[in-house]
Amino acid sequence: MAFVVGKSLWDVSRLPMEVAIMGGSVTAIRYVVTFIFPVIIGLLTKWLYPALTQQLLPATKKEGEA
Amino acid sequence: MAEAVWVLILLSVALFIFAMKRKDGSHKKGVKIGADLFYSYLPVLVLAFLAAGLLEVALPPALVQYWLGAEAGWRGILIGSAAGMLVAAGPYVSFPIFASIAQSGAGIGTTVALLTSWSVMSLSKLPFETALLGPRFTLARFSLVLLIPVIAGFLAQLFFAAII
Repeated sequence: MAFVVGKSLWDVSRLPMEVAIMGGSVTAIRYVVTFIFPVIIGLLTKWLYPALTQQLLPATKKEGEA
Repeated sequence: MAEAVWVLILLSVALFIFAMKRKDGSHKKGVKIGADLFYSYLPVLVLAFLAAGLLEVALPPALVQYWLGAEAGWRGILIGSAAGMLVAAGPYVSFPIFASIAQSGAGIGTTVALLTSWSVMSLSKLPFETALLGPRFTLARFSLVLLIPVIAGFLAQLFFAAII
C-alpha cells in the first residue's frame, strides 16, 4: 500500500515535467507536504485492514519464492 | 520559470555525467530515449499547451480567485481535491491545465490539493488498479487516501502561502 501510494505521489519519471511546467517552488512544496503520507498509509493499512494485509502476504511470499 | 530551467539543466548535466561514468554507452542511450519521448509526445504537448492557454483566457481570473484563490480557504482546497480526481489525463496533459489554473490566480493550497488529488485519486487509474490489485485493495487504498489532498493543500496553504 505504501509502495502504491508512494509511487503515485512521488513518481520520479514525472518530476522533470512537473518542475518544468508547475515550477520548482510548487513542486518542492508538494513534495514537502506529502512526504510522510506513504508511510502513514502503510501503517494505517496494517492497523485498519489487518485482514487485507494477511490476504496479500502469501501472494508476496509465493512471488519471492518463485 | 527561469528557476525551473536551472533545476532541469543541473539535473540533466548531473545525470549525463553519472551515465557517462558507467562507460557502457548509457549516456547515448539515455539521450536517444529522451529524444524519442520528445517526438512521441510532441503532438500531445502542443495540444495540451494550446488547451491550457485557451483555458486561461476562458477562465475569468476573478472567478478563479473567488473559488480557488487563497481567500477561498477551505472551499478552494476542497474544490481542488475533487477536481484533481476528475482530471483523467496523463502528466503531459494535466500539468499544463493545472499550471494555467495556478496562473489564473488559484492559491498554493488549491494547486497542491489539485496536484495531489490527481496523483493519488485520479479516477482514470481505477480500472487498471482494480484489475491488477483487486477491488478490495483499491477500495481500502481509496478510503485511506481520501483526506491526503485536503491535508496536503491545508499544510501548503498554512506554511507556504506567505513565501510564494
